[in-house]
Amino acid sequence: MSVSIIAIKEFSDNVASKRFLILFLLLSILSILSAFTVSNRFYGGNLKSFSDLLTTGSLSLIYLIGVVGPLIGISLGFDCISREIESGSLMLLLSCPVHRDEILNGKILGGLLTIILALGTSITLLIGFIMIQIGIAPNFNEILRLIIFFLASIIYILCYMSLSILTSIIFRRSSISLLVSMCIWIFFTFMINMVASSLASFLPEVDVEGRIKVLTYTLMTSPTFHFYALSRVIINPQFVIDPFGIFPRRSFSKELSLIESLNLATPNMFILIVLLMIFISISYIKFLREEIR
Amino acid sequence: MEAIIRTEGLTKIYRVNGREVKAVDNLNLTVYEGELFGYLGPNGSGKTTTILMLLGLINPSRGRGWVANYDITKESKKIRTIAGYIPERYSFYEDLSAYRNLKFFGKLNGISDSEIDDRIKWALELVELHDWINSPVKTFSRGMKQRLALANVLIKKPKVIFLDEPTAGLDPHARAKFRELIKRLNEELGLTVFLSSHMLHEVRQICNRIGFLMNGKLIAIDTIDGFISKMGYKIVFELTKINDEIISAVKSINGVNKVFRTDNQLTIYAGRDVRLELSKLANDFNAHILTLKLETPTLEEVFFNIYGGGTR
Repeated sequence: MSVSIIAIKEFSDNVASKRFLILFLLLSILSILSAFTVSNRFYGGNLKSFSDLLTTGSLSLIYLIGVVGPLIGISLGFDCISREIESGSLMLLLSCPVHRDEILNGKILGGLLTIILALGTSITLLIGFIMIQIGIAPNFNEILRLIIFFLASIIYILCYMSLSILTSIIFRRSSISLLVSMCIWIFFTFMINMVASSLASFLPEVDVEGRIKVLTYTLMTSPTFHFYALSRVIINPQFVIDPFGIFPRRSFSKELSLIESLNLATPNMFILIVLLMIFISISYIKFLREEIR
Repeated sequence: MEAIIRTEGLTKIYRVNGREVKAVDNLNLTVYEGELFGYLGPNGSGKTTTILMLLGLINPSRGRGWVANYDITKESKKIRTIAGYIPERYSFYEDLSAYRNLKFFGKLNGISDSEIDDRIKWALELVELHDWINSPVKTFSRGMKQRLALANVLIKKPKVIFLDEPTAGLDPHARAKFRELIKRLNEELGLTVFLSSHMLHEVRQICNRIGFLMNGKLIAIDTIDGFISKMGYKIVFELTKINDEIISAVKSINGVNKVFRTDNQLTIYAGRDVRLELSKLANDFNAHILTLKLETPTLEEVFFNIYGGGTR
């Protein structure tokens, strides 16, 4: 009961907040832009399937959610607890007959509802505009793939939201929490490839296979990397994953069935869920043990 | 009267920079139903820590405690359904109206949808904020916010309310209004009030029994009259002339505890009535007596002279 009360308030606070509205507008505008961009490619005659439209190009749906999605997650989580501590409303919350885990559950649930709203709207916008532009609709199989992709995207954005909730609990100050969350996002989104390559190439006396393992294990720490990998495989039946387990590439020989694609994406999905659980678990432990004075 | 708050050896130890600090030390306290209890002590003496332990928001290091017979470590959620708390530093959701704030916290306190509107109206009328029901809290003055906080605890119809430095930061008018409100609630609703403060004059004006906390230890607990009677006699002794010899002679009188000088006036605190000795002494020093009278000591004098109370 308490969880739903807190979740509803959190959700209404989120959707009414200026920062969320700005990011939501940004995602929506980029979705429409993406729709126009991919539609133009279709007119060039390069279209292979509807899924192709969503997985390739610099402004594809996957890239859009891969980059802007974490920003929405961070914007929902970075001051989730620290704002209540800074303003003093946490004491009023705690003076009610609610447990601390209920507060955190309510906040996460409120954030989840907001993510569903933002993501659902932007994906619907994008697909809707593509359909209007090129006049074809995704088939049943593609719709199923899109639904699974939608769920994976929610988990991915939740991952960043949980991470920023954790920084909000640890640092207790919204400004520091935002800074740390943004640094982690920049690292995982733009720097991890560089760091992984550097690590792999500078290791002395390691053979090629060993270097690829180092590269793989370093990349595996990034939720963004797993999201890109699994999204391509889930949305586009032409994508397969290479022998090292996590690098997706285009297969020109055959199209995979949904089950085959899901099988290939499972390790990435599993790691994404594990990362999410780790962030949430540490947040619970830290928040429940926090001395409130 | 039945005890509503009871503690046995309640202790809280914090670790600060690897060092153990006893915030509350072996607290044995009983507060009775319907009482206006003042929990007095300097800043950092352990008042807030005591309240947080009683509400089950922090765990004691040692000892036990009960609020309305609920164990503070095992039944803290139940305690928070029957106990209200106004922290020293708190904030409502400033963009929301008084009504929406109270509705949110009311629901968290388990008040049903059918009851909540009536309770909000009743509580806001009680604290004289009913005209502001739909105004955003950010438009409220500090005094209004404090009354709103009181309404927020009243909507759950608590048995006991914990007020932590409730008038800090209020102007004199708002302070007086808040004090009157607390007394009225105690009289009309029979509400037990546990008021923590470092301001003696405030506690004296509201409470009928006081516990005095110093460095985490409860060093004295009594009614206001009880404390004053402990002080003994306060004698105001004014002479035409006063010098060091006279002061030494006054201090040497059997029963005199403390002597304070202001110009030609001495304020003497003694365990017995020493006015006869003082008049003889004036005669010995050829000084004329201008004033020689017994006065009732104030509570402030009791604390400053007996317990050395004050802010750290």
